[in-house]
Parts: sequence; structure tokens; C-alpha cells
Amino acid sequence: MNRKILFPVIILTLINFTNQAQDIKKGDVFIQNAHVLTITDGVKENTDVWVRNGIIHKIGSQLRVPNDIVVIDARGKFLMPGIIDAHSHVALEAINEASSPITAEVKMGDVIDPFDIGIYRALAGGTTISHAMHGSANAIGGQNITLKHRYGTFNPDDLVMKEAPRTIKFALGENPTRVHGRGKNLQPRSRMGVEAVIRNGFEEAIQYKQTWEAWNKAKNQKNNRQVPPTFSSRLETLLDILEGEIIIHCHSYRADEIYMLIQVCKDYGVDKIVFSHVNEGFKVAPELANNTMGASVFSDWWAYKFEVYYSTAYNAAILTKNGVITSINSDSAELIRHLYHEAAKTQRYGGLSDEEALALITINPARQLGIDQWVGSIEEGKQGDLVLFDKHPLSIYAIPEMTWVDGIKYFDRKEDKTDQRLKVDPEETLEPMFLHADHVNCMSNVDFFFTGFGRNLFEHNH
Amino acid sequence: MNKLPILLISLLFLNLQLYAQIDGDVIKPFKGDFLLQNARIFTITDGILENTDLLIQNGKIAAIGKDLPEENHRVIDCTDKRLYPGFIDGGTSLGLVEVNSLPETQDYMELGKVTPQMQALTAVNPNAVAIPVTRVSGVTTVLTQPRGGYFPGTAALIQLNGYTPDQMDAGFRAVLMNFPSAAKAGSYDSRSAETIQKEAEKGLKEIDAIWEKATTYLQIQEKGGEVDYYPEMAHLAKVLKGELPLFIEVNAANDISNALEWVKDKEIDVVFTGVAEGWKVAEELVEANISVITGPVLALPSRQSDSYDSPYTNASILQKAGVKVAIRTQETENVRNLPFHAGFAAAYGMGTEEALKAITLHPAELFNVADKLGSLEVGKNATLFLADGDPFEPKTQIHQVFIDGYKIPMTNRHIRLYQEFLDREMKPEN
Amino acid sequence: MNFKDLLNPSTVSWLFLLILVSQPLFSQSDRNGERRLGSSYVITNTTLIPSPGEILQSQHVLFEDGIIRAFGKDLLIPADAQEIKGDSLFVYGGFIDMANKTGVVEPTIPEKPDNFDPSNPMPEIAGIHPHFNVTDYYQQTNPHDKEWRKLGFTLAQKLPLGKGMLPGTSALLIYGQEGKNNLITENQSIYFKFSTAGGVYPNTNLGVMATWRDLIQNARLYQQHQEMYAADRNIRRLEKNPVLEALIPVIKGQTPVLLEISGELDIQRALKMQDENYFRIILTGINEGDHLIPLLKEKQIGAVLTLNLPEDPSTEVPDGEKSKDFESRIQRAKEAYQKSLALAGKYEAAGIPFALTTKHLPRGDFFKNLQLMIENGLSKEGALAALTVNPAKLLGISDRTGTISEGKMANLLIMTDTLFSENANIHMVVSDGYLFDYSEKPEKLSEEETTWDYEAETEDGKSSGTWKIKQKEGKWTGTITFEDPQGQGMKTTAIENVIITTENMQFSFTVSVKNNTMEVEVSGNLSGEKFSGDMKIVGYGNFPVKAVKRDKPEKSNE
Repeated sequence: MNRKILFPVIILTLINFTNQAQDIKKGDVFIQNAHVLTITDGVKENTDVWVRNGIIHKIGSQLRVPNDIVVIDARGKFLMPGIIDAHSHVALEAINEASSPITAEVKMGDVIDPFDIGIYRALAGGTTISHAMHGSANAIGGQNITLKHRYGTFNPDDLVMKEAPRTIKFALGENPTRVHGRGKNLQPRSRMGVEAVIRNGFEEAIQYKQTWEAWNKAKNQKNNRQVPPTFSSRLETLLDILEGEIIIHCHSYRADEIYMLIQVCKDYGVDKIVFSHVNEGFKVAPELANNTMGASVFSDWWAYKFEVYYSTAYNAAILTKNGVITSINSDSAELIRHLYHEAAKTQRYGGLSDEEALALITINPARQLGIDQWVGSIEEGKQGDLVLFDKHPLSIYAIPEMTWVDGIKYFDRKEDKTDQRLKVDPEETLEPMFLHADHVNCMSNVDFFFTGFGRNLFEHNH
Repeated sequence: MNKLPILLISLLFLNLQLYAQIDGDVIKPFKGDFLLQNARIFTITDGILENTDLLIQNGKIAAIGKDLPEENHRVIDCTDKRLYPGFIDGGTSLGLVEVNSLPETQDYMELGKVTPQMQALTAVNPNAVAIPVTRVSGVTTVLTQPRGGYFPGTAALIQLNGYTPDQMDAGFRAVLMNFPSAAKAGSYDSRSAETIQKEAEKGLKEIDAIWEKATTYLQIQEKGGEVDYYPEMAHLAKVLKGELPLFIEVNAANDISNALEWVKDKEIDVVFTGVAEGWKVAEELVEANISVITGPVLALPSRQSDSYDSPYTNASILQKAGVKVAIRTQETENVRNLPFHAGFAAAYGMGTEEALKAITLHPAELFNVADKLGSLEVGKNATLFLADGDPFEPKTQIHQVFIDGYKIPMTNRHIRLYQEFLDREMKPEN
Repeated sequence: MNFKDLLNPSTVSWLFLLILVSQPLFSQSDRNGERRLGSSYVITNTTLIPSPGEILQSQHVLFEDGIIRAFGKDLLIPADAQEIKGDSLFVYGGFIDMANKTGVVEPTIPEKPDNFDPSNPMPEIAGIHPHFNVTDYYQQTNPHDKEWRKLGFTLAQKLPLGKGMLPGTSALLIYGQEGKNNLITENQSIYFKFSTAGGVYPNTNLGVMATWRDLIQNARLYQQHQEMYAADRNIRRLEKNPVLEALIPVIKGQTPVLLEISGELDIQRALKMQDENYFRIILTGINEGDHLIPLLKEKQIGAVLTLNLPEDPSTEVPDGEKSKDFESRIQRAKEAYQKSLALAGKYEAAGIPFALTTKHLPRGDFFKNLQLMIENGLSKEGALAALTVNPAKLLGISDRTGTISEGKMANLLIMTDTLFSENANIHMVVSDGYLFDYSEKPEKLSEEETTWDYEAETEDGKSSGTWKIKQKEGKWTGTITFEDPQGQGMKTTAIENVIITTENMQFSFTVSVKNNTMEVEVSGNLSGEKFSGDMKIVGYGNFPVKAVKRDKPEKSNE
């Protein structure tokens, strides 16, 4: 073969190979002499953490590591596990399939946007994992996707945390009743209707299962007179919820609606449920502690709509003290940049200890997402998702300096270039400006249904 | 039938009602003479005074010094605690909105593009639930602003205590103006660069026409001529006369430069607000000697290609270049986060001392109330607070707030809900 | 009649008569002298490019009845063959367009019922009508296809219109003689796009992906039921479902899905769809994502690149935008632009036989954009292949067209110079054996005049009139007619400051009312032949205005 031809062929084959394998990048790093905030095993002073092939290999002092490993001198600095955001809409091209009160069949994994600059900005705030959720327009929304912030890839699937279990979005209260009940003249228009819609969905799924069981039994029998039933991925998904294969993450605010869904879940034997936002969760803290996988809350958001008027910034503290697994989430491209600060606010509002406060953004959200065996604390055998701060992360003066995912450094404040966009519009001359914009949120993609309502409805719409 | 039992029953009932009514005390702000003993005093203007006393009398700071006589004052032990002047937020909607999504509770926007005479103070609800929620954080004074149009109205500086707007009035007004923007307003903005430019120029032309009209109005008035009732022009004339300052909201770098050009030959008292891209044109602002109220600090970068930390560093870059900087939250219900916005600015280059000034002395100066607010000095208003540490740190607790000499109850709905629900079990009274 | 008889000249003329007889001219003379003398032509002594990269000198090309009979240096030329002198001319295969929509009208969608439930709409309302056949909505007399033919196109894959994800099936049509049925193949592929009807389920790509999964599963079940019912009539009858029925050839792998994409994430989504449920894919509208080339090659995905290249960002750099990083930002946009231009070259280098689509492309940009692709890495042969052999292969009609060889359709492009050279003009296009002579007056698109009928809604009700807009030497000028505000009938005045892009149009004019003049600015969006925007009467307000471009009556070139 001609050499000139051979060379491109080799390159092409190589590209081909990497593309086919789609291996997630994993790295090695040795972080020395840090204050290690392990979360599950206290604070270890002057301790080394060795990540090998993406996994925390050893924690200790005076570890012997290979000569060629990258060593980070972290003397005087604070190392904590990568921050986990249990409610986010980062890296998504679409948020709401708002056209039906139940859309359990839709998958956020179909609309991952690896080019979202929000991923990099989250990394710069120490957040390594986000739970990319469907919006809150529907009583039963779509299936969410847990993402690791491996920024730089062009392949949406590379962001997916493959180990994470399936989760689904539910939503109660004002949003589903407004979108469907008032926007489209469909149930639910009230909190009564929300319950009915969810129960109807579950019942239809049970009937669906029976129909399919009957068909599967009959189809291979002689003289079968049954005909194939219709397939519905919506009802299939609802069945998976009933069978405990999917964790519910439910957008909710008021105590009554939270209590309602706890009762519904009890009736159907569903125990994998996390309540999100849950501003009035503090009123039903004992019920949340006894029956759910916890509550994922805002640190201090309130009064942006009527159902959060009777909120308190002490919510996380009350929930924590009542034994509810509690996390603090962002639901915002802005808050995801400083969840460590949001967690710190629980020290002002309710006096949580450092350990309790840090758990809100690490091990607790990991538990709520069903990924705590892999991430959420600094333990040997867990994934090498880490963030190094110059000061204690709960201090207002703390600055995240480096962030690793799977032992790969994706953010380094010292090497931070200004323009971190992966993709640029070839026609762009005037770059758009986003002022105080938090344009992606729970109620994105539903504007269509509200052309006549005036824009104020959309100013604050979580 | 004997009437007596009925009477007894009704009496009994009445009594019960009375008891029900007085179950639980109302804690109100009250004025008095307070001696704050042995504090670490962050004066802002005179450094930090260790183990020093501060006396509050008649709503003023009557004395600052070591071992002040106790006399009959109410003594508050401040050992290991710090005193700060009340924090001032340079831009909010506090009091004008109750529940943000409900139009019926939004009173910050009037119809029309030219409504400079609309008074924010008129619409401030002294009983807004967000007010006590805000002040217990040490934020005692805020500028509350109308929004929308070219001249949305007149902002008012309010202190967060009082039963009427007048009692809340902290003695400052500013006419607001939104400078027409030549920046693309987001990814949804499909206008071409040319259209955007044209529309901004057109906006400025319209503003110029209004300005011209106000100037003519003033000239006629000053010559003693008769002018028709024209409240919009009458109000803008006050800006022209120098009776009221003009606060210009402007954010994109190019717009800031154009705004500087616009104010160049106008003899008016001007402050720029927003100034999100001030870091790009800091030198121009210094040259023009324009002060700035910037924020929110906890915000997204204004452009996708900007550094992730540009909103955090903006205030610091402006301040280091020599601009007088105040910080605002641009918030409604979470104005309480002002110290955290300042804290982020401090962490990202400004330093604690300058960041403190940006929410105390500097806004007081920009609002022409530095004789009363913004620092702890004898003769100034007793608007201050006591904390057990650095108030920028979330961990720090604010122990007591005073506004104009009033001792403010350290409670609000958030705290009461906490008290009620921390432990839902009924327990006998302690 | 056997095959050999077909070649007999007398039989051919007899067939020709049959065609004439089938026309409604029975017993009438050819009053305007439009009839052709016969269907047999020969291009003599020409330079022939039978397929990309192959050049033959001094060739005669004989075609008859729309079929290329023979070519070569020493060809026996039949007496009835009309000669086209080919000296100094260059003969190429006619271009084939893919994913084209010109001449196709919107299908009629049923009205929404009173108790309409947007969460469960009937498929046609949801934009799910794969059973719609584009031939039912194609207007052969449309003015556009002729214009494309002037640029060398002889055949196109026509796509149905429709707002949703499955607008219908495509068809292959010849840009041939008017009045004939020029359909080659119908139900050629199922057209899929990542788009929705809006306001009903599915409303976003989330719903589109889920709907596709359910449709495929249910098409399988439907097929199963169909087979069961065919074997045993004593079971519940199969309720006819045209949507599922249309998808059965897809799940059987018989019909490909032409999947329109608008970015590389759509490509990833398409591949995911194929991984989940295998079907044959041809991607159209490819405009980015060169890193995906190896993957597309490996999966043998058909690729159709868009000819509609982005605007050069360096032509409209706003002056004075302040930023330390402004230069580097513009530089990145320029790099992205260069990357777009180089994409076709990269596909060629990777050995993917891609085709091109003119969808969304202004005709005036056709050769310009090809030239840009060539300047940025695409070979001239590659460009020709992308317009001839490759689309023929993707469309499954290589046995009939795509190259010049015996037995293939007489679809030819005759140039005055080699294709893509600077001074090359199109001399003639042969389509389906019919000649379209463009030698006399080469079309100057720059002088095209368009007429628009507009309607504006003002406070006083509707007002309407026309705009005439003309381009000369790069400058737009025109006139507007409007109802005189003083009630003196229609008035005409000049319009100024005209700016027209592919997506926007704006201009201004002044109206005199007594001694005052009102300044009026019109601006809005263009989509195809439709304009929608605002009319600003300075000092009065904004009023919505809509306009439609008039179909221009065409002079026949045949």
C-alpha cells in the first residue's frame, strides 16, 4: 500500500476504535496533605488521597505511589467529595414534555446537551454530578438521567453515570394544575385531581400488565383466539415504578400534597420516593423520615409563588433533626455553581454542624439517587470525584480550586481559560447577553400553553 | 326556663375567648437607651475598636468609648461579639412584592414608558412578611425600586422598621432610568445585530426627546412662565435642577460607554446601576468619575464565553480601578443574602474591608445619607447590629439588630415556623 | 412486442404517436408549433464526463425516448436524430437533489374537535402521518423546479410538508416535460424529522423519541395481528391503522427512513434510534459533527449534507463591541465557519459517498456554496459525485441514472466549460430526454423582481396592497402600493433601506398626509414565500403585517 494512503487509514482506524469503544476517561492523581473531609468518616488532617484508574485507591499518609503520577500539593487545603446536585436541569436540550398530565415514557437521556456551558460552570463550583430532571409540568413527568460532569466530550452518552438507577419526575400542586387544568382544560385542576391522575395511572398500568400476561400465556397455545395488545412505554414505565425499579423524585411544596403522595405510595407498596423542593416538608418531617428516601430542598428560596409563601429557611435543619435524609439542590444554573455555600446557610438557619451541612450536598443526595455505593464520600473503592478548596468549603471565602471526575481533572482555577465553550455558532458575531437569567428551569417548554397569561407567570417558576 | 345557666354559659364562653386571645406574646420593636458593652466595633470609618462600648440614646449613637458609664441604660453584654453598621442594599424590590408569581401582589411596575413620578415608597407594604425576614440578617436599609420602561419611577431608601411608609423613609429618592440596550437579550433574541443597534438608537432618541421636553419645561418654569400640569416633566425637571439624582441601569459594556457619552454634557447627579460588564470598561468609569451600584454578585456570567467568575470579580475589578462601588442583590424576598453577595465579592478579590464598605459607607454616600448611616460614629443613627462573628460567614449568628435606636425583635415567620415544627410533638410548657 | 422491437426506429415513432394520442390534442393541429420533431437526439463531438473523474473527448452521445442509447467516437448516427453541436461543450450527468420540498403544498389536517384533548390527539393533528404520500401534494406546475433545472437539476427526491415528526413518504420526480407525469418512484422513503406540530403530544424531542419507540413496537404487533388474521378469520378483526401500516416496510427493512437533522445531537439521537430498533437510515441536512464521520461510515448510514452553508461571520462584525476577548471570540466563530465549509471535504476523505440537499438554499447560492466546499477540501469530482452518482445510489436508482451510460435515463447537463470553473455557463439541460435550452440568455438571478401581496392590520381595519422588490447590481429597490389614508384610492411610492436576507426582510417608506409625512418601517421574517412581521408607523404604533410572494408566470423554454 502507498504510504500516503496508509497514514490516513491508520488514523481513521484509530478514531474508529476510540469511537466504538466509547471508553469513559479515567485518571490517576495523588493529592497530598489535605484536610480530607471524608463525610462518612470525619475529617482527616494532613492526609493523602490516591486515585488510581478513576477510583479512590488509598487514603492515608506517606503512601508510596508511582513516580509518574500527578501529585497535587494540598497542604492547608480542603478536599471533599464532588458535590452532587439532586435536582438540576443542566445539559438538557428540552425540559418539559408538557403536553400530557402523564409522560412517564419520555427520557431525559434522549435530550442530553454535552455543549452546555453550565456543566463547566458547575464544575467550577465543585459540582461533579447532577440529576438532570424533567420539568414539573406534569403529575408524572419523564425519566430523569444522572450525569457526571465529564465536560469536553461531544458524545451525550459519555456524560451518563451508567451505574445510577432509573429515576422519574413527579410533580404536585400549582404547576401541573396550572399547565393542564387551566392551560388545557384537562385534569388535574386541583390537588384532588393530581392524586386522581396518579392513581388512575397506576391502575391503568396494573390492567395493562394483566392484559399482557394473558396474551403472553395465550399466544403460543393452539387455537389461540387472542390478538396482540397495544404496547405502551408509558404504562410499562408506571409498572416499573410499582415494581420498585425506579426512584420517584417528586416536585412538591405543600405539606398536604406531600402527605397525599406518601399515602398513595403506601397503597401501592412503593417506597422508593424522594420529595424535591418540599418547602413545607418541615411540617410533615416525621412522615418523611418514616416513609421516604428523604427530601431535597432549596436552602432559602421562598415567596416566588403562593405555594411557597409559608416556607422557612430552617427547612433543611428541621428535616435533618427529624431524621429525614436531606439534601440541598439547585434547580438552577446559578445555584449549582455554589451548592457548598447553599449548604453553609443551614448553619445560619438552624445551626447544623459542618458534617451535617456537608452531607446535604454529598452523601445524602447520593443516597437519594441510589448512587451512594459509588460516590458521595471519600472512601477507598469509591469513584475519584473530588474537589479541592483553598479554605473550608462552608466558609464564604472558600474558592474551589480543582475538580476531578473519575480521577480526571476537569477544572483548575489556575488553568481556567476565559472562553470554555465547546461549540461556537459559525454565524455568531454578536454574542447574546444573559442578564440575571436562569432560563432553564422546572417550567421550561410550557410557555406554549400560556400565550394568553402574561409573562409574569414565568418569571419565577420552579 | 331559668336564665341563669345560659348567662353562666355565655360568660364562660366569653372568658374562654379572652384567654385564647392572649395566648402568646407579641414582641414589638422598642426604643430605649442601650449600652452595648465590650464589643469589637467595626466602625468602617475608623478601623476596628476592640473591647469598646457603644451607647444608643434617642435613636442615635450617643457615645463610643471604653468603659462608658452604665447609668440607667439597658446594658447588653457584647463580649466576644462584634458590632457593625446596618447593611444597606443598593437595589431591591423589597416591600413592593409579596408573592412574586401573583400579579395582584406586584406593585413595582406601572403602565407606560415614562413614569418618573411614580413613587416606590407609596407602594411599600410596611407589613410585608419579607421585611422581618430580611432585617434579622443585619440588612437594615434598602433601596426599593420600580421597574420597566425608560423612566420606571422614583426609588426610595427605606429602613426596615416602621408602621407607615413615612416611618420607614430613610430620606433618599432617586429617579430611575433604563438605558436602551444594544446587546442581544439572550438566545431567544432573534434580532439581527443591525436591528438591535437601530432599536437601541431609536430608544435613545426617544429618551433624548423626553429630556429635551423636560429641559424646556424647566426653562419656562424658571422664567416664570405658565406650564400645564405635567407631572412627568415636573419630576424630571427636579433631576435637571439637581434636586434628585438619576440612577441609570446599564449593563452591557457598549451600553455603558454610550451611557457615559450620554451623561457627559449633562449637569446632573448620576449613579450607574447594574454595570454587569463594568469589568470591561472600568477605566472609562473611573475617568468619568461615575459611581456604581453593581450586583447581584451571585449571578451567571452575562455571556457564554465569559469567565465563570466574572460576576464574582466584577465589583472587585471596578473597585481596584478606582470606582466607588456599592453592592446590591436585586432581590425581593431574599435580600437577606446581601452579606453573602458581598462575601463572594470579598473572596474573589475585593477583600472583606472593601466589601463591607460596599454595603455600608459607599451606598450611604451614594444615597446622600452618610451623615446618618453607613458607619459607626457618634451622632449617626443607631442602625447597627451585633454578631458573633464575621457577618459574611453563613455560620455567624446575628444576635441583635437596632434600627434608628429601635431594638428589633429577632424573630420572623421563618423562625416561628422553626420553633413550632422542629419538634412536632406537644410538650408541657417549660 | 419484444425488447428488440423496442429498439426498432419504426416502433419507437409508433410509441411516440401513442404518447401524442394520449394527449388531449386529439384531432387538433399543433397550433403554436410546440411539438417536437421526434425524441431522438445526438450530441456530436463533445467532451463527455460519464461519471466523476472520467473524461472522454470527441464523443457523440445518442439518446432517444429519454434513454441514452449509445456514446462513442465512431457512432452510427440514425437519420432521425436531431443534432446538438457539442464542440466546445461539456456533458455531465444531470444533478439529483435530495430532500427537496419545492412545489409541495401543505396537506389538509383535520379540524380539532370541540372537546379536543391535546394529550391524546389523532395522529394527523400530532403531525404523525407517515401514510401521506407526497405525490398527492406535489404541484408539478410550480415555478421553482424549473429554476432548479436551470441550475442543472434533473431529478429530485420530494418530501412532504407537515409540522410534525412523520409528514409522509417521499417520491422521486423528474424535472422533465410539463404536462407529463414525471413520477419515478413513490413511497420511496419514510420522512422523519425532530419536530412537532406544537401544543399537542408529542410537543418536544422528548415526546418524539418516546412516540417513535411505541410506533415501532406497535407496528410489529400490528403486523403480527395482520398475519394472524390472514391465517384465521375467526379472531378479532384487525382495525385498520394507516400509520402503523405505513411503518411495516420500515421494520421489515424494505423502506429507508430519511431522517432530517439540524445538528450533531440529532445525529446522535438518530443513531440511538437505530441501535434500539434497527431500520435503514439516510441522514439529511448534515451541517456539522465531523468527529462522527467514522461512526457513520462504520454503521453505513446514508449521508446527505446541506448546501445551505452558514453566513460568513466576518462580514458582519459589529464595530466597537468591547471585550478583552472579543477578537478571540470572533476568531472562534470564524474557525467554526471554516469547519462548516470543510465538512464536505472531510466526508469525501473518509470515503463516505454523500449526497447534497438544496433544502433552505437560496438558488443564487448554489454554485457559490459548491465553490466554497471545493475551496475547502472537496474535490471537483467529489462535488459532481455528490450531485449525481451518490444520490442515485442512496435513492436506489443507480440502474437508471447517476452516470452517463447506455440504457440510463437521458438526464444531462451541458456546460460551456468544465463544471465549477469560473466561466462555465449552463448551455442546456436534458431531462427525461427533453431539451431545455438555456444558451441564449443566461439567467441573471441578480435582476429577479418579486411581487408580494401584503395585508396589514391597523386600528382602522385591514389594509392591503403589493410590494415590488428588485435587485440590481447588489442593491435592492422597489415600490409599495397602499390605500391612500385620505381615501383617494391606491397610491404607489418608493421603498427605501431594503435589506433582504434568507430569513429577514425589512424596508421603510414615507406616506404624506396633508402636510405631514409619516415614516413607516416594515420588518419581519421570511419563510419560503411567506413574510410575517411588523409595520411600525413611527409615533403611532406597531401593526402586524403578512405577505405572500406571487408565483411569477414563467416563460416556457421548451
